[in-house]
Amino acid sequence: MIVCPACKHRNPEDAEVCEACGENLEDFLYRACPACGALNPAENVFCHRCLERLKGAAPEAAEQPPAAEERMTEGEETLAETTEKEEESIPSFLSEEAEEAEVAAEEEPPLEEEPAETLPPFIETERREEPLTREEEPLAEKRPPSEEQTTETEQAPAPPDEQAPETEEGEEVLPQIATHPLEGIEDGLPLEVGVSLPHRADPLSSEEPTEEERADAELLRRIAEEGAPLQEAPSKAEGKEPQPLSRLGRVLLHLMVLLAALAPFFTGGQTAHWVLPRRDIGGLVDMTSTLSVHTPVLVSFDYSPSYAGELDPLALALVRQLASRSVPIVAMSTKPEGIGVAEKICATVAGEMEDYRYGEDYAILGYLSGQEAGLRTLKKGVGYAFKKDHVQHRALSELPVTSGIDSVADMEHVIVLSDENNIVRRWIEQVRRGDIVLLHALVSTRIEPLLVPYEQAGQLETLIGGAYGAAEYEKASGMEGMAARTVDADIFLFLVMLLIAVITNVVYVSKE
Amino acid sequence: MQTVINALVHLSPATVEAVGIWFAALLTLAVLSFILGDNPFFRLAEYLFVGIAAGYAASLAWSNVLWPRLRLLLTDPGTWWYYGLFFALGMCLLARGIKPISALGNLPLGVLFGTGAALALGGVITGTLVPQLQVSFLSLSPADYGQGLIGWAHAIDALLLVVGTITVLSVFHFSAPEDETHKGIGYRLLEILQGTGRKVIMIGFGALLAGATLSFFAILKSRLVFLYDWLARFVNVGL
Repeated sequence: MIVCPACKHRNPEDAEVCEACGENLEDFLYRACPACGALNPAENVFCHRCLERLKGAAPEAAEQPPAAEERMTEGEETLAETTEKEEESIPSFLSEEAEEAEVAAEEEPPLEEEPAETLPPFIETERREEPLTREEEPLAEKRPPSEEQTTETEQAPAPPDEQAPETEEGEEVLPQIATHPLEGIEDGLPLEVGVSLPHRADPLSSEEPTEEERADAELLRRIAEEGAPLQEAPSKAEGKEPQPLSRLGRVLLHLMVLLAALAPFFTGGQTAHWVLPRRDIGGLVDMTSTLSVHTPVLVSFDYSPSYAGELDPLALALVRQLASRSVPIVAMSTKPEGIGVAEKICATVAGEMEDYRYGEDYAILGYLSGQEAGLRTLKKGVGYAFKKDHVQHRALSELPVTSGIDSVADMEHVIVLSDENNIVRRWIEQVRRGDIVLLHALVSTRIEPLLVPYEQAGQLETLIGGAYGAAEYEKASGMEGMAARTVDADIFLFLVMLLIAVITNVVYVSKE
Repeated sequence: MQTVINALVHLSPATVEAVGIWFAALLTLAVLSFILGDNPFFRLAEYLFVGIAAGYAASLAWSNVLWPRLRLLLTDPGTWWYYGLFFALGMCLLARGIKPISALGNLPLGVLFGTGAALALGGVITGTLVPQLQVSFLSLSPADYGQGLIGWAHAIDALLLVVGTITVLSVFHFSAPEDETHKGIGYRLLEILQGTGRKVIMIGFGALLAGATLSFFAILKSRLVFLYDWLARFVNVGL
């Protein structure tokens, strides 16, 4: 069955013209695939379903259209002429390449041309349209179709008698099929053409290449000719070179920060008496002072040695104060590196106090793996999380400090020393939930702002941050150590930052 | 080899400490040498840090986690039989590296991710989301916070918190007016809120940056103190 593209009339298989309107159906024949029986448009070379080659699918080449030269008017530039001009403007190395290719093509035996019968009719149609002039194309796109063109378009689906308008020379113009052959068939199968339509390349510009284009062509030639490097070139950061003044300013800034860090060596901690502990830090100190000597405190050293410079003074101040009050400490870590830190801190305090002994006053349980799951296990029972202690490898029931502990709730207070806000958050979410323990966080200044909401919500009893917090803690506990002695550096850094902020703002405003 | 190991084991604690301090001081200098640009000393310190940290973590995982449970399983399998299941799952995880049987690793991975996601989700909802939402409903009346200036200060603090929360949330409201030329009053109000919210976010980022700066400054300070102590000891020894 052939559906007429003009009037949608269904014609028998062998119809060559539409029975209803007389439309030429030669190009709209559907061919049944010999392998699977699927219907294919006449121009399909391969079956759309099984990709079987459709022998004889392409009908005979349509009648040749009027010669291109005949359709050109005088004074119009042909594509051939344009190409000649463009060849002149092509860079020399490309011209050489083209000449070499031509020579090679002449030397090679000519390829066998594909028989004309195998070309589908739409390709022939495209061919017929190719010799159009360059000036016609943009005009055809921009301006509305002329009267003659409109007449041709409207008359295309007309019966053969009417559809053959004659040109001035009296030659018959065949209907040009520029659209898809299946266009207009609404109730047909969703068939696709077997081969894609060839796209015509945009014509090259006939203007002389600019200097920039020549430079690009030269660069392309160099890239094409030079050999590939054996190794990747080292990447070099691109960007504007800093101005000498800004470079000097940067060096000055670094020097001032370095001087601020070195300040304690010159001042000797003279500003330590300026430090005023905040109320919550004083509260933690008071709490540790009132703790029972029979109730241990769980201290989790959840920071790596990278942050030891900031958090060690805080940890030392805490452990020293707990040890001085004879409050038992049960240490652990949810970070593998934290166990080494815990051992170092506890050993330092044990070295300072003669009667501070492992197993009686403190114990290190070890590394708790599993993140959320590990903390949930710890909450369920300390014995589930730790089978033996880390140092002496004894059962927890054998150590005096851990013998009476079954769960975290038996310790009442949990103090987390951490350099990651996620770790503190996990302790809040997995262990503190249900208010079974009171949680205190002694953290790096870097993460302190992220944990302030938890403190304000009452989920953290205490939040102390960084080296300045350690100085406050030492001051509140009356045991001044390294943090208080080096607090001058922090105060000098504040002054440096203030000075830089004032100078840069003054410079900015004066420039404006 | 055995002789060297014996000699190392029988080193006195004072010697070990002295060697450790020298090693730490030289590595600190190697890391600080990055100020002058990338160099082999910095790379050596970096690789040592990464390698030792990985080795230390692996040894801890064995001695703290795996071996105590494996020993229980071997000595009393009747009581601790379920550790056998966990070890079997762990062995399946190792199969990920062997292509023909890599599918065996899907089961422990599924258990791991499923359990982890469930615990994390439950914890976030009950431990962070709900409590933080609860405390976001604040009274703006000074009388609720006390008498005099204290009450007013807390009320202003609460107001800032509420305004900050609403404006920051409005930043993440993406919409466009129906008519670009005649924006409604609702859309103009939203634009004002979003502009304020962006400034609040910038202040938040500024606080985080300041905290990070202070944190790294404290680390620098401690390293300089350490180097000073080392030099002082070195000079004393030399004198």
